[in-house]
Amino acid sequence: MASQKNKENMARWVAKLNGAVMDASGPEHMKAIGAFLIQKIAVRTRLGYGVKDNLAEKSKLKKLSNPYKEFRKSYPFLSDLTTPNKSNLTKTGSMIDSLKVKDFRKNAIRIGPTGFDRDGVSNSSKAFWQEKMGRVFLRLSAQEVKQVRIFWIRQFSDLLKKENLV
Amino acid sequence: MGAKWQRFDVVIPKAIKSTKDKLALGEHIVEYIRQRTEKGKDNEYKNFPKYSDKYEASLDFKIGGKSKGQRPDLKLTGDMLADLQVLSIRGDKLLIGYKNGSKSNAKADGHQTGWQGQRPNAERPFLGFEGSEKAKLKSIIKEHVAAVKDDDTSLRAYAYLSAKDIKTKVKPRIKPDETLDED
Repeated sequence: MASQKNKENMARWVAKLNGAVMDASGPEHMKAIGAFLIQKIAVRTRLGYGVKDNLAEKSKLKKLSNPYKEFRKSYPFLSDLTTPNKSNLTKTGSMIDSLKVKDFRKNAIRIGPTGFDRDGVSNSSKAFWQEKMGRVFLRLSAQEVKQVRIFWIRQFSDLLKKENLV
Repeated sequence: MGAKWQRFDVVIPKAIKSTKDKLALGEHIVEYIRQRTEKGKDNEYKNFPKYSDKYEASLDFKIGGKSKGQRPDLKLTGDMLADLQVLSIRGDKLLIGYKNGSKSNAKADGHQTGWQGQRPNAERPFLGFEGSEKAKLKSIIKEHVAAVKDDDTSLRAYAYLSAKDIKTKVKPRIKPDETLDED
């Protein structure tokens, strides 16, 4: 009798656990992970670092050319998140600000630049151009992947607590 | 002078025998330190010294989305806290800290020592357990000993997940003149 009850309890526990696992990969949590990733990429890039390959270490973005620095000195719409000499893929700030979660399905999250800047240039073209010029930023460093993992585990851990599984 | 290797030992009680359980304890300690640091508390659970006016006025501070007067959390990019790890399990000792020679180790050394005395007001020791925090370490260990005795797997769940190699595929996909809004 007791054994039957134990089995039922265990089955209920496993069902709850499976539910928590499903929830942790559900839209709400995937969106949260996407927003977390965008924030990581934005801060790292604006601090002046790119990531050349996935899981590589971040490295300083290529310096700006002198004529471009001069142009930025008199550019009236320069973002307050940069300076004329700083190479951080920020002029007006529109490209990095436009990063969005585009899609999440099959355990995948797609992040990309969206829309256009004030001059009507698409933000994805600008990102493509920057990559071509060697300023690669839409990748994740090993440390960023670790941070996503910690973020996900914390979310999962909260779900387990909510379901009284721990 | 180069950065010192930043790490500390934790003695594992004999009741915790398996490597998995030892790792679970280690991962719990690592996560506790991360969360304590994010709350702005040092290794004695005292508030970190405030950010300097100069740092609060810096562009990095603004880019990091920090606000004036906020408690330091040693987390501008988050890389340093993410790199904190269980370095090894040898017999009854857990070694927790940073890979020697890594960038994060150098950063951690800076915080631990106030950049080797050059910035004493920015000394923010966050590794290990000192003062009243020694009791906290004891309570974490006690919790794990009890869990092992009761064969309670729930405490291990977090650690198993942490240790698991979650494969993250990151596919770059940027095309020119592509308005992703519309696809």
